[in-house]
Amino acid sequence: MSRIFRVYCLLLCSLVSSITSFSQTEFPKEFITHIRLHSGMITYSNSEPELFVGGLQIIPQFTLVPNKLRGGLVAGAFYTDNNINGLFGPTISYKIAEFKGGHFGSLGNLHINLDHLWGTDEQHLAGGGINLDLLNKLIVNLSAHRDYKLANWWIQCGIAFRISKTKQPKETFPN
Amino acid sequence: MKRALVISGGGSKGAFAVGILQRLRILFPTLHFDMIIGTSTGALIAPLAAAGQLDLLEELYTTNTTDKVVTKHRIGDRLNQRSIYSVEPLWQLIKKYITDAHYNNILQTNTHIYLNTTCLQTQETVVYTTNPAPKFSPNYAIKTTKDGEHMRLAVLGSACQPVFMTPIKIDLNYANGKEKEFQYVDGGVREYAGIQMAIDQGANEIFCILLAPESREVEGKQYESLFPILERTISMFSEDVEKNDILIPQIHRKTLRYLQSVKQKMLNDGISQNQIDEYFKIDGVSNPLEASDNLRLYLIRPEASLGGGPGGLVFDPTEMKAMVNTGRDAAQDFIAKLDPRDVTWIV
Repeated sequence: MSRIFRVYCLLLCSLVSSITSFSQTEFPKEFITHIRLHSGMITYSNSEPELFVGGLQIIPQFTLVPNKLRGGLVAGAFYTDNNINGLFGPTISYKIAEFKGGHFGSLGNLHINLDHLWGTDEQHLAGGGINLDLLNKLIVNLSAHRDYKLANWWIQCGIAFRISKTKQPKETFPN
Repeated sequence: MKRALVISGGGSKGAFAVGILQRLRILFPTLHFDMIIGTSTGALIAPLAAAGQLDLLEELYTTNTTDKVVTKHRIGDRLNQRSIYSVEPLWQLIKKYITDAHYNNILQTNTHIYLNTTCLQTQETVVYTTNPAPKFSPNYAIKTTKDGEHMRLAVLGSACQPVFMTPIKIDLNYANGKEKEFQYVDGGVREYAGIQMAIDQGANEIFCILLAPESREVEGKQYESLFPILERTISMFSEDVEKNDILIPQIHRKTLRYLQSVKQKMLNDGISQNQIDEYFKIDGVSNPLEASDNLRLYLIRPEASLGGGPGGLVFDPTEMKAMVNTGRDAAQDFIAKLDPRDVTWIV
């Protein structure tokens, strides 16, 4: 237990230090929406075969803590076992690193997301993933969710595109 | 004697020029400039220097951080914009520090300011001046500012390094036709230091403050990735423009000195002044140096790099305070090395 606690503290310290040491341009205060294509498998602990799962999600989020934390919703549809179902639930995204482009700004970020999703066929998913955000246009992610109701794991990869417009700063001079 | 102050571009390194001006003011309170020519950060300094607001200049150049000058963004968000940074903070600073009262004050002094910009449409240097009757030159366009806002826009345009900072439509409300849509960027693209411009405008004693050292430092480090290479390239571009700007006036000055030495030697050998003048009169060929006899050019520059990041785009108050002090010391050294016979400005 104490070993787990030490690892937890170490991870927390590294997260906090990585957040505070960067000058901030990623995760500005904004409303942002992504559309994500995902696919992967549902694995069971018993001998049942793994099932393919794939789908499409829309993820609107709002910055809760500028340069650090976003929160929002996930809503989508997925295909598995010859059925199409829906899922939805809350999500938060926590920035852990920012990729600097010299003095010019930032090229992207690395963030984790945690979410809880309810499926239309009794799925109860809790989990999250790690996301590589490139140029605020494209996100590549890996995720793992535990369906604690149906006792299985969802392991997936995804690619998301920002579909919301980026708000540009107001300029009060003629240009 | 018509005296000019020329201040080159260099972003945050303008703090060095502020230190020089402060020390010159203390040492020579009556030192007067008939014209102040500024490029980029020099254009930001010129109006306040002409209005005698050196304390404001020190505040401007020692208290503002980079985010109070430009706003950085996610680079991906700016790919279809006019610049990587947004410059609204700089515009707010210019409006705060350079007021209409300052503009009116400049008009009442007998110091004219000249602000160098580069027009993206015509590709030529365009100079905005408070002089109602400037001398025209085939080498650049020259326009008289209409009011304080027009001058502030010219300052902003002169300071905006293209790609990084937004091109400015300086004449949107001050011209007609196509011209009002013209976009202007940093004058340093074409002219880093306006020495030749000062000569063209009739100056024969020029104080030129340059913000980069004469000798380049040899770096031991390797440039391994895109952005550091890009930053280094930007610095090299501006330094190259600077070298070219200084080279021609220096050749001009050396040629004048050489000719004066030849004439003196002829006089010493017993040739009369009239005869010498006759030798230098060539039918059908005018003397290109006639208008700039007795040109004095004083260069004041740092001995080592001042810092301030690529193109002076990093505004660090601690570093800029050190630049102000370096400027004060440089002014002191400059005065100490002057030949007392050259000091024409003590009344």
